Amino acid sequence: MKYLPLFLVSILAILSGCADKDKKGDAAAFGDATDDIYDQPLPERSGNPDNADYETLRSETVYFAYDSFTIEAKERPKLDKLANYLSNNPNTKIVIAGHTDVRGTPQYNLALSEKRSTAVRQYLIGLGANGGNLSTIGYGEDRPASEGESDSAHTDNRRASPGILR
Amino acid sequence: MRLLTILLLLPLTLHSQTAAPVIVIEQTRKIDVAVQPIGGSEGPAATKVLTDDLNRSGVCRVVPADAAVFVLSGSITPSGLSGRAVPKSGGAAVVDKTFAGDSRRATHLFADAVVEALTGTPGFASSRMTFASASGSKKTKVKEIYVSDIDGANARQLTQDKSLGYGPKFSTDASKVVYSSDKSGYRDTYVIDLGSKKRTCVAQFPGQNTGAAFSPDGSTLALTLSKDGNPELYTMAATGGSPTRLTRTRGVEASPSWSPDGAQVVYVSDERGSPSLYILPATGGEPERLNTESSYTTEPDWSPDGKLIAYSISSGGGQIGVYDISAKKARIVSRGSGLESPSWTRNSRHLVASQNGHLVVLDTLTGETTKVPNNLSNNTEPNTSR
Repeated sequence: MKYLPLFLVSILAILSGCADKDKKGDAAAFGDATDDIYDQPLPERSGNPDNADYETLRSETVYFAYDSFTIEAKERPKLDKLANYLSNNPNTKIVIAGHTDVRGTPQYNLALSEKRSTAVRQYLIGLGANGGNLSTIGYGEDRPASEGESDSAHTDNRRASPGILR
Repeated sequence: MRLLTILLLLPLTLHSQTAAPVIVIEQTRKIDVAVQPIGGSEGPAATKVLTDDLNRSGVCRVVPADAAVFVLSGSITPSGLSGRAVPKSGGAAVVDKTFAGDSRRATHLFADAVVEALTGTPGFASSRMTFASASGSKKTKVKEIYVSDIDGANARQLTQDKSLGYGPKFSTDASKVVYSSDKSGYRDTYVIDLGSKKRTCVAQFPGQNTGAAFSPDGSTLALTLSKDGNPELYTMAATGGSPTRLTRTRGVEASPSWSPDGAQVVYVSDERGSPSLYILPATGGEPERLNTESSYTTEPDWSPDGKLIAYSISSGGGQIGVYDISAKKARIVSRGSGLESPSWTRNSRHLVASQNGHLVVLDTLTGETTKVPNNLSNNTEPNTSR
């Protein structure tokens, strides 16, 4: 029994390494692995992400590995909950705010943070959510949840936070 | 659970290590010049400006007159500066001209003319730069856009957006600056006309509108849009309008920079793992990956002579690389760490870059950096006028 967890860990590590290498967002999990699934046009803008309510759905914040936009298995239950919330509140519009840690350069981090938010959006659409109610914003490295250069600050900062637009 | 997280991250960490290319630092011989005190009431200040410009040029070394090969002299006139550079061995002046503008501007033009006379390539002392400067922290952090001379003087705040401004870039004629800001709540792309100070929002599609760069003729912008659901590269008219999509990948595309003939764009994509550099025809087509031998390479900038691409290497702690397009070879041109966001000056030799929140001029032949002084904090993403 002592060795089982370690064995599991190495399998997970290998899976995680592979997933990062070919950069498939987990939208590919929804059967049809064509590139079209990545084209989910964004809705016209509504509300202002600056004034969105990020408190109500705080526990549904999704965290990412370094330089990755893959939605890891451990994060998926949060998105199941979020999809459920959206189906119970079909008129609620939300914005998904993507963020990176401070490593890397400004433009790539902007794009990576936006990609994290679109990856979450695609995943939610895959779960049946109405894409027309899901906007995105990428803040790059400039709206950190934790200040500093520690590993734990980096971990806190690589995230996509759902906010209710009002 | 903590241990699990660490082990999960381990393969990613190993994957991101760099196989660094050999660092080639060439020692270049500098030409010894002497600067005689410039006449006129603004002469002493101009003398210092000229001396700094020449030292920063990478071409000259300012020495006492008895050790000099060329001697520079000048005087401030009501309309500018009248400057001369003569060989100490005798013979005709290599520069003998009146330069127009305020004393500072005219002095920069004199320095550039001296460098051009000695090397055949114009100096960059009269160039300007635009950059972002941050203040505040966390939720109150704002980044405004500034312009200044390339030596840091005449810094002027262009925006008062009280939001996050990113990636300012000049048009080729330096009459406009394009940048992105989330002042509307979403990230839009704006063009500022530096003459009229008028600002126009040119891209406000759903999602992100960022990383815009003017084509060499100024008619077109290349930029990253996420309106179709994923950050991809597009081109569009610089005055706004309907975008043309250039890329279609599962990953992130960012940071386009045009070839000087406007035919191609170099950009960043992480389609195959960590971000690397690709070249694509500006009208769309098959991307070609550049083998820089480094991982996590971003922020490419195509040199004005068309031969080189400078870029940031994040995996080595923040260094600058240069890729030679015809030789297909890359080299690291910086020393130290914390460097990013390179932008070529007009001589295709020196770059401006940011280093730990300061701006520097980096000589890609020697690796020497010269700090650009200013009173602003957290300076990022400098871009030079050419």
